[in-house]
Amino acid sequence: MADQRDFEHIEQSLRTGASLVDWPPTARQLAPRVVATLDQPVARRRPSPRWALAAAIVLVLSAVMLLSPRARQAVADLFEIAGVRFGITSEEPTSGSVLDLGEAVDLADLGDLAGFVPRRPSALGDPDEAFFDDSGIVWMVWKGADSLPAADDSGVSWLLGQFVDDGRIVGLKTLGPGVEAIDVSVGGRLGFWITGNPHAFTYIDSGNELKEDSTRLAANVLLWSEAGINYRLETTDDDFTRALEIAESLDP
Amino acid sequence: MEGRPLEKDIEIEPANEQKLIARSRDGDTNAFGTLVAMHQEIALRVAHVVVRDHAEAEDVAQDAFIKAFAALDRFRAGSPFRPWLLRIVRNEALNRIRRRRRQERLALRVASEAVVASGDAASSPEAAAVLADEIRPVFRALDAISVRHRSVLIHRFVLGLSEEETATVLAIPRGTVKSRTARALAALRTELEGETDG
Repeated sequence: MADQRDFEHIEQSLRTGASLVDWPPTARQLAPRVVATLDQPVARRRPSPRWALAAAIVLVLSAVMLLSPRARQAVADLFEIAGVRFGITSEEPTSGSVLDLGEAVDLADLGDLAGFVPRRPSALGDPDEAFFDDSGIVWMVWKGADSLPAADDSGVSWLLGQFVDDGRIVGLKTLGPGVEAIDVSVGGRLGFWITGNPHAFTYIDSGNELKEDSTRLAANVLLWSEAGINYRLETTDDDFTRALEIAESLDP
Repeated sequence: MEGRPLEKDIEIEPANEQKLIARSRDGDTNAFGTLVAMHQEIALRVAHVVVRDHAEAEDVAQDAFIKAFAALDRFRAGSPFRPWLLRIVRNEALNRIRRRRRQERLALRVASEAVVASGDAASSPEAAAVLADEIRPVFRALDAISVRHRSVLIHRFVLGLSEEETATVLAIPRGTVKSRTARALAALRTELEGETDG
């Protein structure tokens, strides 16, 4: 009972204290400012269904615009997106069998650890596992289900990595034989869909040490950046439209 | 204006709020302006808890409202709008401060430095000062507990959100809000006892 009384007293103090906090004054002009911003043509961001349909067509078109090996070679040296630099190799890469994503953590703790709020794709629901690695990347993992193929060894079907886009390159992806890089639009932003044979991935960790990682889901990766955060969606599913649906279903 | 208890600028029936949301989804920016006016005060406070700066809180709230408008297609019709909106506000605020994460962790004081004697909360300046003296140790202790514990107490009691709203805004299960609140209150009491003993 003493505990309960103590807690009630603390609760009451916090509630009373709310009236003593130096809150920001309510901005009477906030609503007109928001409306004025939304009414500007460039700020009118709500897509109409017609716009969305057009965007879908554009996406399908862009999905078939595969870069030729020559074009890929030309692009590769300049090719940096979502904190990943791409390179070309003529060697066949290998893929491992164990995902090394850092420390397993509670999903609820990801935000505190990352320093930003990781977004969840509603199209996949809550992840089965969450990890935080020492390069500052948060990972959400969805394991194989009846409707999704699981990676042979890891049992993982979808993997979403998120990290702050602070200009550093945290990864080096090597495009080898049989790997295609496709420029795509993810919610209107440039992205890349990497598909084909397994491709190796090398991280640069927080200590600037190269960390070999040949354990990715290997086949298909969608990369894009949005509002200062880099996203990487990896999957065993070859269906690009499904990957896009998931990428565009992130929490606002 | 400053220091007064939270109150809605506009009272509106939930059914009418849903109509405003539906009109906003169809592109009616004036309808959305009404929603902004309804929720701007709590939105500013949620932003302020994170960024601790009046002007930045206002920028965060404005940007969050614009993002919310763009995201209305993903709002589930009929579900509570306020926690959905406040989660966007908090995300926007957290993203703003992510580059100064360390400072935020150490200095998310919310109220301890900002507690001011306010005529709104007491009948006289003297009474307000006494009240502030009673409250100040609690807010000082609030600073000393973990970020997770502090966040849940601020949203539940200082901002006055329900358990369900807090769960949505902090993106944690409702059961976690309940258990974390209990642990946070215990941690706060321990901190207060230490302060008294010291």
